Amino acid sequence: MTAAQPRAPRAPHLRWKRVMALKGASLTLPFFLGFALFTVTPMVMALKESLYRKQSSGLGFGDKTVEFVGLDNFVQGFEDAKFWAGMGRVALFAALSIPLIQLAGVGLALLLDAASQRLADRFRLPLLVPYMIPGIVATLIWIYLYSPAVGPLTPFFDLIGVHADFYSGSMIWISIGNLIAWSSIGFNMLIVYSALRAVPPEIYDSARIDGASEWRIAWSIKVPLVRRSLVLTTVLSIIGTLQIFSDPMLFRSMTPETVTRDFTPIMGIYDWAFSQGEFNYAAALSIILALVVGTASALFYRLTNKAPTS
Amino acid sequence: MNRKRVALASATAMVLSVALGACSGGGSGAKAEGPVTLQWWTWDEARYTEPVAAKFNETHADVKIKIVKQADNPGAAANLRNAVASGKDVPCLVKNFSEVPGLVGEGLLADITQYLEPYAKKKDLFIESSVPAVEAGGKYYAIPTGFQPSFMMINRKVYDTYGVKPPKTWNDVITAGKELKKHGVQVMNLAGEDPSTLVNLVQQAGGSWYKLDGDKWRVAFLSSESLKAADIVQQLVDNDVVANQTYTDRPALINYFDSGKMVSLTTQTWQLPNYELNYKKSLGDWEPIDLPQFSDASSFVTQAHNANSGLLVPKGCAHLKEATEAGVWLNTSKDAIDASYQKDTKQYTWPGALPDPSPWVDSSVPDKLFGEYKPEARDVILKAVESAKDSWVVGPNYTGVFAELQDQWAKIVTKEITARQALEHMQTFTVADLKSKHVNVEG
Repeated sequence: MTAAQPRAPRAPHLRWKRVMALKGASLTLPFFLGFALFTVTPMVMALKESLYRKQSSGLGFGDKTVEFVGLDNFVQGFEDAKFWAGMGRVALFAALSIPLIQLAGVGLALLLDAASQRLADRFRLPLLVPYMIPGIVATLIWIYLYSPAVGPLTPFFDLIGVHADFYSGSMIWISIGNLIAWSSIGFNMLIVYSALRAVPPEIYDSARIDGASEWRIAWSIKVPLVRRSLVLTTVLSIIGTLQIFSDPMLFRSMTPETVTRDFTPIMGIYDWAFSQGEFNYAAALSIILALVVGTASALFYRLTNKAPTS
Repeated sequence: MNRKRVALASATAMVLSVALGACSGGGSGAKAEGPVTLQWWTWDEARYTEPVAAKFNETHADVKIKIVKQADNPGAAANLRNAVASGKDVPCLVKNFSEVPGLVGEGLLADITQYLEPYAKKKDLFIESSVPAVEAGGKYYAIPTGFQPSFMMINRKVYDTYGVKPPKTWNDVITAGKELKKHGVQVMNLAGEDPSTLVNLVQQAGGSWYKLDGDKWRVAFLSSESLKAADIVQQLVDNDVVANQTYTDRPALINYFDSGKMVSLTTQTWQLPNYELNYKKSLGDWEPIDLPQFSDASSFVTQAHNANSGLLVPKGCAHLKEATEAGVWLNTSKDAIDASYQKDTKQYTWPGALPDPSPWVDSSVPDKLFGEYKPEARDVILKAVESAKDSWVVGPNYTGVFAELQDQWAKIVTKEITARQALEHMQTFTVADLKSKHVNVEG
């Protein structure tokens, strides 16, 4: 009894806290429901599918049996030279394109930040317009622009004495990279620009009083202060680039001899699942890809967040 | 804390079960009375198929056909795989998007042997060479749709301008190509996504990449016929006498064909109205000629095996008998052929399954495309029908093998590998793939 006495007055406080906590949690419910239905459930199903394989017998025309094969599909996936060639292709592309796109995004954000507010407002929206265009539409626009038969770019380059075949094996990644840069630089710029606007102007004033040039301010103050935003946009770019699908898929319709069906990892997975009906193997490859993307993003995050951010 | 988790979990489970229940509900109830309705999936334009279905429905009381339009070949493939996997609303007739044995190997088709056999055995109902395409392992899985006669059309005006003779053999094509190249003209087009030129050449040589040997498969990508075909392709590529325009950008392709920069096309009757409607510059310049032959051929041969041959009857179709009968009507009845008549092009759908398509040959030749050479078309087309042979056998993993072949083909036309290297790869790939699927194979 004596032990229970001090608890009595605290009970309503606990209940109230709990109600508030539940209230707060309830706000996240729609997200968790969606997450469970559209992310966790497919993942569990994919994991299950990846452990089975359809097997034939005899001449292969009879009914199939579905057999539990353990990790066989994963072993095959890890040894699948074409899948890893696709992975290598996008990894190399990511390693080259992401820094360039980030650089352009930061450059533009710094320019906007250095300009007067009126001028910045005038440019901010137009620079973001490409990002607002849906990916498929953007790709279709550029496919037309690149087309050697009907597009305006080939005759333009011919005019200045350059024969540019945008669909050739040596140009295809540049063509795709240009399209991605066009549509994503505006987004990166906006995120970095917002971060720059959040920096208190007094810091710049004191730097100027100390005699720092605008270059010096940009390099030594602005860039380090927007580091977190840069890490965020880079991680998003890594995830997006390693899973690149719709752009090369549409390019394939123009140049199937260059952009093969397993040109990128997701294209290969799509082909296994929907062109060849091998869902089990496609599920295993999906999980491998998810592991690679997850590891690459986590590694980048870990490495870039080790150093102090300000 | 635990109670909170439990509450959250049960709420999630409830929402999930409601959502999943909604997905799985709504199955069609069995129709006890009234006519049987068969779904016919096709991506052909409605103007070719709807009048035929209407005619069928008009003349049949107990069975009705309902067309479900598909976006395209890959779309139909994906939809059918899903329908068969779910077992719900499975269509009974589907335009073929691949090869029958490959689809049987995937477990997508129904055995209709008992219903089709009486028709297949009937004399003069189906042309003999149309039947092997719907067989797999001695059973029938689709209704024969026959084949399109293959021939070549050349831009005779350009040939004459540069004093080049029309080709009779594939070696002539290569020789013509070398001469035409000097004038910036390509002799043929090999689209980078479409290995059918190689496949057709192997068939014309009398070869087949698969052979049944008792209870096992023999894989023969490196047979003498196959290598002979590869040699022609290699020479066309090595001498830079071919273009690589893709089929997917149709307007650009037609524009290119019309430009006079590419002057020989292997073709079939169904493609002619398209050229007639879309060519602007070169109408009347084209001449239909016999399909070029191998120099050492002992007799004139065209291939009778078209990819996508046969009207599929999928596994899970609830009315196999009716589906077979409707399919036979669609492909052999005069009513069906007459209903396919197009007023603007004055053409019927080519009756490829019939033993004697001669009554429809004239209507298949457009007025302006061949200009003064139009009278030659009838003989060229009928000769192609009469000399057509089908030696082609396909194994149960052909869907995947063809996809692999497409990639190899892309590498051949871009000179990354030789045609022979591609065939060597295909041999290894196909055998390994069959083995991995536990199918009996040697080779």
